[in-house]
Amino acid sequence: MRILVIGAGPTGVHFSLSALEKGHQVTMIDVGNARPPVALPAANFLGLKRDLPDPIAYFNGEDYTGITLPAASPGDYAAYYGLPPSKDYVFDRPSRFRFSNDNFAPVLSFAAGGLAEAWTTGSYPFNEDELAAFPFSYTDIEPFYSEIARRIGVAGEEDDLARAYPRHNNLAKPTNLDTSGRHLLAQYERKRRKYNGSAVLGRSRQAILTEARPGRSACTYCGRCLWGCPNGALYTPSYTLRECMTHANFHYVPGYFVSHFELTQSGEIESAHAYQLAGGAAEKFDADAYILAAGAVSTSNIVLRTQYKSRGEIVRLEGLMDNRQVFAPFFNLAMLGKSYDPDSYQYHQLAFGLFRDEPERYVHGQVTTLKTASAHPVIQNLPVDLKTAAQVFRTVRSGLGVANLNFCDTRRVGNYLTLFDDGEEWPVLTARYRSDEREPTEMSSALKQAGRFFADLGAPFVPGMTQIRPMGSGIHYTGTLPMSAEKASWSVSPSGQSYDFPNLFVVDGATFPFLPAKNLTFTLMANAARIAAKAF
Amino acid sequence: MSAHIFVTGGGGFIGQALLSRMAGKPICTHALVRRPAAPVAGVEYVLGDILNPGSYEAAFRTTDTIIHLAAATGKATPAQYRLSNVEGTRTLLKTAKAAGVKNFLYVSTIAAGYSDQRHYSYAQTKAEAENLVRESGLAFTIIRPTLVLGSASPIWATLQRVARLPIIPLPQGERPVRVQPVHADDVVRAIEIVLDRQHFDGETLDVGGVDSERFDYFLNAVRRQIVGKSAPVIRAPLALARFPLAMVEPVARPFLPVTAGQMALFANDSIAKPNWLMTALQPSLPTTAALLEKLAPRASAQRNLGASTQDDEARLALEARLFTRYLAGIESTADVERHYAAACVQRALSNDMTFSPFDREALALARKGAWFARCADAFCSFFSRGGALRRKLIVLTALIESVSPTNELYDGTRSPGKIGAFALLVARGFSFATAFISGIVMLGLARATKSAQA
Repeated sequence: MRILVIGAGPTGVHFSLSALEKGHQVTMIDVGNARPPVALPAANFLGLKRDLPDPIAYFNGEDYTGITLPAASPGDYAAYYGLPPSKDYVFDRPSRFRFSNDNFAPVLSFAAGGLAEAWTTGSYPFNEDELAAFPFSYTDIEPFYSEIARRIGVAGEEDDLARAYPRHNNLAKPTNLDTSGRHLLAQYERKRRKYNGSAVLGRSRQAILTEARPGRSACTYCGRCLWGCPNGALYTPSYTLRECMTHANFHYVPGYFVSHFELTQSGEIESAHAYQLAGGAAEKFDADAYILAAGAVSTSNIVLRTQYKSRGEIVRLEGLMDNRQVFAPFFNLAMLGKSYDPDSYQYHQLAFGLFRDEPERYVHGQVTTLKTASAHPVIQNLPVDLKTAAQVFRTVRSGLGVANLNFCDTRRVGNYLTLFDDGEEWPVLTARYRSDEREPTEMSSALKQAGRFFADLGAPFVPGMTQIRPMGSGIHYTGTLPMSAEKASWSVSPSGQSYDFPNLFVVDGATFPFLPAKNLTFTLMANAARIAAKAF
Repeated sequence: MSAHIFVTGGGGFIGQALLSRMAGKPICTHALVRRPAAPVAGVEYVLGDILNPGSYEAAFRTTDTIIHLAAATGKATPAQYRLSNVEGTRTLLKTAKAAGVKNFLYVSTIAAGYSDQRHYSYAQTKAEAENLVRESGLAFTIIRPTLVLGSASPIWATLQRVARLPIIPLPQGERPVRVQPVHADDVVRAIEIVLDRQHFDGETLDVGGVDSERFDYFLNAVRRQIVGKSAPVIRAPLALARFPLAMVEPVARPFLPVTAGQMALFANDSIAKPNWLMTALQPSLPTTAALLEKLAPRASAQRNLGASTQDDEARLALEARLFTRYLAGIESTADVERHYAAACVQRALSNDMTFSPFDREALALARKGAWFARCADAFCSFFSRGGALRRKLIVLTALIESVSPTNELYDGTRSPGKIGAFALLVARGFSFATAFISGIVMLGLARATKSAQA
């Protein structure tokens, strides 16, 4: 079968790899912003500051966008850590993509590899409770979790968190735990009975190699995770894209922005219309089946534009979801006076879970140390002069961390993607989002519980520094074309097949009917592989 | 679209928006106004009053469609409401029928459909006027706009006043109410659609914005737009506010910020029921954020335009040298100075003339030397966290933490031990307190003296 895949993010590449292994002809069109060469691959974090020809430009960007200043409006806030300039290529948007938002500002990617080129590697399987709204069970998707874990390399451990993370195969040994993490975990081991299972701490699941593979090293603990792993230990989908390229039946076409589909009179897709980024008229790509894997926002844009172009209708794709995130900086008192070690794994090495009465509303947390993140976004928040702030920061840096709490989301009417006719050649893609009215109560209760839990572990939250991140910064956009066993407009079958356009399949996050609190990328990849296996 | 239309209330804020849209269209428009108005191309003004048919009936000879916007609003007395809204509409309808006018488009209000209209003469009289239209025998459409916002609309002025308060008071009945604000331009578009399609089938159609919002959420969205941040909302029982207002209203109406009747807004949802007109409007309705941006463009966008045209690299390099001495205790390198100057230009921090008087004062003190810079910074860390001095120092911090050897100040890996760390923190506390008190003396007292003199 000739299959046209749109998008080279985590779902596009894993769908394609599965389809290629089954012998299908796969063409992938993608904007495909490419990763620039890695600077000084052998250097560690401090080595970059010492040996790069212009470290200031590397860490802050040529136009200094990497510098975090106090928010211009008092209601806004400056993030404690942002995405570094070395990853700017992940977020560059083609000029043909236009977007406006109402209380929902997503981070979008048009990179080869998609947003997961800048992910933090959290790889957590959804459990039966979290899959209750999905039209398949854990048993159905488990083989694909195992397969993805084999492909990408997932490190972790079966510990107390196994209660929230159902079992799958191919779990590799975890990374070496840093000193602060060891203290927290030891403290938890001593006190675990006290929490009575309502709060649990354990090793996180990371898509990071702890043993080398061909073309990818094992983690060398160089401390450069945030700035871009230099040796391939940290998985990103561009590695799977490279693997796809080794197949003779794969054709990768970067440099194109897909605008919409042309339909036949019977409502099937006849061709995809794409524009070369360099300019020129639209070009047509045809196939037997069309796969949308551009990420929920871009996928929805293509569907909306197709409906607008073919039927002159502007529709709303309701049910937009994202995880609300809360960052709570803490200080691990056991680390006071201990030295700071930049040569360690930088993203979350520990995870925690807060169990709720409704099991699917489980609150997922990760403990991020980010010792090699820039200091200035943190120290500007201390109520002292910047010299004192720097000295205090250096004294306590080894014990600083951020508890990153994630909350689940549900599909609700009024949260949607649509087009807005602003008089330009094409209407602009528009997002609207309003929080669940239960959110403030749930968030406050979870924060209190997490605060008590961390204080008890000897790592109290720093007063006044907890940040509720704005909607859209969760980067887990889902729900606009949900999977449903019952046929309905603007939804897809359990195997991703559109109920509106019969030869269209959606394999990305747009198809999620519910968004659990856990990081979703692992499930995105497993689901894409599942659809490739079931429907093709 | 109708070839001859007659608009009442041409001087009101919806009327003005409608007439300016009519300019240049192949339509003959008469507009009834009570006082002379600025000329609009293609519009012929008729000076008069709806209660006085003699002032306008001549224009009805050629009129196909009347668009009836005129109404008493605001703090009118119940008698004034009745006279304008009921008797005015009755007179207009009678005159129109006698002259053979075919179509009647009545712009009513969402309040006409409120279930709770206690003390609200405006809503009651608009509902009565709607009934007169329905019984008139003319082909008609009634549209009921929700909360109509425009830069000149009284409700927008009130919303801004409320939203600027440090705590937003919100009278509330049994539950939070929802609103669906709509821009006056979109109400005008709704009128145009009815005219274009000649849709006079006796319908009553709600017209609102793109989505409904809880009123408290909307008030805070307005506040974020004009002030930059949200405020807590204090809910008060609606009855406690409404009853006393109704009692004092007959004598104190002109002095009240709001009437008892207007409190109905807090007792009823003001949202548009779906209808064909809303479906036609929908694709071009602005989001709430876009609507607010149209009404009050954010100041922050303008603030960022402060890029200097008088960049003085040498001055900025000197500043980088001094501030590096303050922050890191060593001299800066040429690279840091070059980047500092470029980053200040990029982040609109290069031109003192764009800063506030206090920012200039703080910078002047900081430029006197490393100790002065620390005192000024300590003072600003409490009283001007987002000011120009702090921003410049944060830019420099970002630069010097990125490069060896100044990064040692942030990345040092030596371990002082528990007691050493504790002692260091105490010592830092003392030195900060000294700098802070000196900052208060040098900047705070000077500031206080100046404001006393002023």
